[in-house]
Amino acid sequence: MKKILSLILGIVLFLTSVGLVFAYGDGNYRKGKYLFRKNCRACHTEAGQAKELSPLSKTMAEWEQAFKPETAAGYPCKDEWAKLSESDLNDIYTYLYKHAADSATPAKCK
Amino acid sequence: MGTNQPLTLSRRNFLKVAGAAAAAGTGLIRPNSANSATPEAPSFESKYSVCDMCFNKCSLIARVRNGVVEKLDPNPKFHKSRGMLCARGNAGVRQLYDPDRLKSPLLRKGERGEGKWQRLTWDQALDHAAEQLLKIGEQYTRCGVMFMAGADMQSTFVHRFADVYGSYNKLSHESMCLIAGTRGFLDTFGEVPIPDMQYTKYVVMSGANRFEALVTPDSMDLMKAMAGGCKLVVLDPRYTKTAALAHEYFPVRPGTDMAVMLAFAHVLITEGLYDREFVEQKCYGIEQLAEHVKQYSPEWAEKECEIPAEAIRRIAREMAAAAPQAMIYPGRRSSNYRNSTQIRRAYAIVNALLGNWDRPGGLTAARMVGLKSPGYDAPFYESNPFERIDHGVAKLMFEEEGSLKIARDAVLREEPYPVKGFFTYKTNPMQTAANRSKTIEMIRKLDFMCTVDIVMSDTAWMADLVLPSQAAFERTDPCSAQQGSSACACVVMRDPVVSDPLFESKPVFWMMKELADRLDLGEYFDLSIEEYRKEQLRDLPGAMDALINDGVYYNPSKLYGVYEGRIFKTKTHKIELFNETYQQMGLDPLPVYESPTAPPKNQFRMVVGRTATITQSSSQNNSLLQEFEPENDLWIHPDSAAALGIHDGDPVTVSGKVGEQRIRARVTRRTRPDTVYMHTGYGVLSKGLSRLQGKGACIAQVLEDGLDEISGNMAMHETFVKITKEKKS
Repeated sequence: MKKILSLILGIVLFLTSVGLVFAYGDGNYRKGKYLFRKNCRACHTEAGQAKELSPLSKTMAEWEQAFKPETAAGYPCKDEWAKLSESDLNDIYTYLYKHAADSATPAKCK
Repeated sequence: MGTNQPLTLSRRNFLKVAGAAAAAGTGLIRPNSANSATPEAPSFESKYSVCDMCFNKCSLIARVRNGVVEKLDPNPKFHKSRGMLCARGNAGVRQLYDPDRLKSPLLRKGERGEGKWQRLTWDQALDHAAEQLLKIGEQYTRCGVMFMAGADMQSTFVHRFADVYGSYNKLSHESMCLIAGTRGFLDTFGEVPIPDMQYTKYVVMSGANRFEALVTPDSMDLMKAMAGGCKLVVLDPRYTKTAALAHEYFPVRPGTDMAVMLAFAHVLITEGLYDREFVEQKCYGIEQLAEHVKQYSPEWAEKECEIPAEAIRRIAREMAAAAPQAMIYPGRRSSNYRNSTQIRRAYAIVNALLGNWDRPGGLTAARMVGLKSPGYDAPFYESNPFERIDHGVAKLMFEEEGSLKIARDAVLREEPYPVKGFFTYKTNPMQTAANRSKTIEMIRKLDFMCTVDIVMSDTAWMADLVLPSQAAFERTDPCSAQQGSSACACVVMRDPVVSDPLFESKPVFWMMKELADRLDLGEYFDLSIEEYRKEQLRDLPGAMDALINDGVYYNPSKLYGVYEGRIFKTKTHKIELFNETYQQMGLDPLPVYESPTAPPKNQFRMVVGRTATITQSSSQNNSLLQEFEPENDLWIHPDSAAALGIHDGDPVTVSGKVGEQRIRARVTRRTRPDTVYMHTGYGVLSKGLSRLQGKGACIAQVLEDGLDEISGNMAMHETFVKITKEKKS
């Protein structure tokens, strides 16, 4: 029981800390673009298994919501997320948020 | 006729175009086929292509006899140019057959700019370039090489190469042109609008010269709109040809356009003439704007801009009466002042008050073209610095355009890190960037500079390695998407018009592919242009057939009401009269007027402009176009000239803080007494441009390189000059 409790606590702490990192969106967006294409675009493409995604797919608020731990925990690809480091996730988030549809620097399609 | 037509053709236009198509059917126009059907048919082939004489990329028909292009004609099916081809376009033949074209790869042997060259084979040239790129990449990181490409249909491959090579220091020409306007409108509407000129009823054109600096379809559509009763009001320190054709012209004091716009807003709001319903539903910040513009009355503005208050008030009322078929024309080149983004924000705000967004005769959203941008997964180089070399100076610089002004200063300072390589393709910063001495100084700091062009431009003249590009009519190019408001949302492409490229010229796509191979990056260029096009057109069935048969593909996408049920792509999801993002960044959330400094005594403000026969600096050496503008001269007002003892045709020296040039004076009332002007692109250094030797003066040598602190646009109207009459020898 103790083990389960500490595991849950650990997960909560991890997700909270990840959430805090994400809230800043201060990662390396260039690396985030690379990591997004490498890790996410395998499925999130026009002909892929999941919905096509680019920074323009969502507004800044929607990306913020999408990266909240409670939202991300419900994704079919949550196991893939778990393989990414906090730093990598933050880089990806920073890329998507910085170039969101309603951002000051919306992405150009590429 | 088929279905390949723009969506919004009127019945009248439809019949006109149908007539042209019927004519084509009779053998008068039959691109891609030898005209041998009738005895009187000319013995030439007709082939579709795309003009390369400016950024507009108009579809045209090349008439080819015995493998030689003899004449260029407009493509009557190309609605973006309304079936026309301008003087520059017609002169495109001479670009192809210019004896001054670069003939082989050349390696510099003397000092930079000395003009001593050694001819290389392509293998030697590409091996050398690859070696230099690797060397600089190892010593200074991959970001130690800066890439700059002009508005060419193959420039995308230079960007792709830069990405996979690993440099994010990519620049375009646009930071010497339009990015302040782009920024201002993007930060108000969430996208950059396209004016619907054909159906407008009232246009205020401030600092644009659309009947000389041609933009398709705006130039043609405005002419047609005026024939149908549209009123044109022009504000410009110069009496341009657009001013000459306007219903009203005001020689506005340079740099005071914002005062006029804020006074328009003042009248529209205080007199309750703005579109209340539109503003309530779609705009954010009307209360703050109303409070802000209380101070900017027409009477106040008159003192700044020298336009009578009663005229400002009347024009605002006339615009409101014509709205929403009324507009402040957004314009194109906005590389003028250090606050040009805010000036263009003021233009955008008045348009929002007129409620002309997404409506006929107003500002329209970009239409869906449907062309795909084939992606690629560029590698990431951990050793690279965190940011671009020009990062952090302009608060809202466009990554994909960069800022030459900021980048050049950074290369000179070697901060935030050294950049020692420079690759340019079909762009000429030596002539188009203000402060030429500084550009030369920057080039001298480099270890390696490679320039790809058709001719020995001034920029090529300064390079270490010069590679000859094919001319447009020799190339297979990717498809290009075009926006033309009511004219079209369309695609054009280019296939070779002539079968044998001249000399040893090659397309830059091939050069990038060869260099990628040499740098073990070949996997990113494992494609042909044909495959690339197929990918571009994958969602547009029938597009390739239309391109082959008509020279253009039209997407019949929605033109008006595109935003019905959609949010605006801004932070508040509305049109932002008041911009909170600006406020958070420490920028003025509403445009705040600052009076421009008046020229010191006996000095003049120098302004930049265009004519209909010159494209920046790339067309002056064209043998046909040169007949129109053999050399430039200095426009100076008669009163100012008289005070200095200058007569028409006198040689004068124009001197400013960063340089001086000798030129002949043109004494003319077509400029204000406090303003002087000369065309861009003369006074060349290159000995490879034979028709321009000793012709005119270089404006870039005299202009100071100011900075628009929001967008990073170069500010070119911040220069004061002295004019001195040359003593007769």
